[in-house]
Amino acid sequence: MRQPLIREFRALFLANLGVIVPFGLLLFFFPRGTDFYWTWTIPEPRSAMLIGAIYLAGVPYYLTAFFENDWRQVENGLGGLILFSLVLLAATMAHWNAFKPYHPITLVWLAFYYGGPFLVPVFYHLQIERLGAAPDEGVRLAPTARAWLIGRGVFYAVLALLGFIFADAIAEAWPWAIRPLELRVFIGQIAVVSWAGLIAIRGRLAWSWHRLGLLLTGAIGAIQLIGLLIGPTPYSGSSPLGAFPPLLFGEWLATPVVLFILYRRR
Amino acid sequence: MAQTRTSNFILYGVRLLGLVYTALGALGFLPFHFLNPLHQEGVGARYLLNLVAINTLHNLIHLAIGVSGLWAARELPSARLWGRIAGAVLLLLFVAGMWQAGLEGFPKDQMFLGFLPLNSPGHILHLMSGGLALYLGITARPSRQAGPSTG
Repeated sequence: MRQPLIREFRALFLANLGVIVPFGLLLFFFPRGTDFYWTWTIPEPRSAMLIGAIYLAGVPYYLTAFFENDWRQVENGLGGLILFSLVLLAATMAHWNAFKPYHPITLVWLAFYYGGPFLVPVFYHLQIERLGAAPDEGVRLAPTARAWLIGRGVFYAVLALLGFIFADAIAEAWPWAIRPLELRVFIGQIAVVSWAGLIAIRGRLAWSWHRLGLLLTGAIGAIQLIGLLIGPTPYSGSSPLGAFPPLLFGEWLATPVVLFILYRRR
Repeated sequence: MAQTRTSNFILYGVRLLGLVYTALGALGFLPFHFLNPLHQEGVGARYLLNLVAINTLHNLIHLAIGVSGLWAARELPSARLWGRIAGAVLLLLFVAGMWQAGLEGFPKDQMFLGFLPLNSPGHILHLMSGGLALYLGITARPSRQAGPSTG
C-alpha cells in the first residue's frame, strides 16, 4: 500500500530541485566559471565537476520522490539528506574564509544546508503524525544483500570520517590538484552513500525502503564516472590515489545496478 | 470518527529550535579559538563555529531564545505562541540585518545597532529558524484525523 507524502515534503523536494538543478548544471557543465557564479572559486575544473555530480544525481532522486509520492521510498533517504547537510555545513565552517559572504549562491547554499537539519526532522514527525508509519511489506532483501549494504555502509562511514579529518593529507595524494575544501565537500557524497547502506541495519528489508537511496547512489556513481572521462584537465593515474576514484565510483554504480536487476521485477 | 491528536510535531519543532539555540548560546561561551575564532578583519567579532558572528550579548540572546523555546515546548498553546513571537523577531532581524548589510556594501560582518555582530551565516540562520518557528506558530494547525491513513 502506497502512503503519500505530506505537502510539506513535496514542497521541500520541489524547492530542493530548484536549487540542485542550477547547482548541478553549472558545476558539471561549466566548471571553469566558478570564479563568477559559485560561492567560492574552485581552481580545478575537475573538482567542480566532482562536487556538481551529486546535484545532478539528485534530480532523478527528487523527481522520483515527488512523482511516485510514496513515503516508504522516501523515508530511508531523509537521514542521508540531513547527514549530507551536516557534512557540508561542517565543510563550510572549516573553510568559511574561502566563501564570498554575500554572493547569492552563498545565501542559497547556507539556506539549503541549514534547511535540512531544521525542516526534515519536523516534517518527518508531521508525516508520521498525519499518516502513520508505512508497513514493511513487499519483496524483501536477501540476507547477503543486506549484509553487503551494511558492510559498504560501515566502510564508507569510516572513509568519510577519516577523509574529512585528514583531507589535507588526502589532497596531496589525489589524482588531480584538489584542495581540502573541495575534498571535504565531496566527502558529503561518501556520507550519503554510507547512509544508503547503513539504513539496512534497521531491519526494514522491503526492497522499496532501499530503492530510492540506491537510485541516488547509482546515479552519483554513473555521473562521477562520466566526469572522470570528460574532465577537462589532466588526471594523474600514477598518483598514490590514482586508482581510487574510478574504483569508488564503479562500486557506487555496480551495487545499485546489481540490486535493481535482482529486485526490480520481483 | 474524527479526533484531535496531540500535535507532537509542533512541540517537537519548538523543542528542536530551543535545543539548537541553547546549544549555540552555550557553545558561544566556550573560550576555544578553534571553536569560535576571532575574526579581526571585520568588526572584530568571534565566529561561532567559525561561521556565525557573535559576542557575549549575542550568546545571551541565543540562550534566551533557546531556553524559552524549551520551556514553551511543554504545552501546545505556549509552543505556538513562542513560534509566533520568536519567528517574527528572527525574521525581522533577518530583514533588518540584510538591509543594514546592503547599506554598508555587504561587508564580511557588521555591528547591528552598534552592539550586535551579524554576518551572512547569521542572517540565514535567522531566516531559516525564524521561518520554521513562524510556520509552527501560525501555519501549522493541530492535526485532525481519524488515525493512520492508508493513503
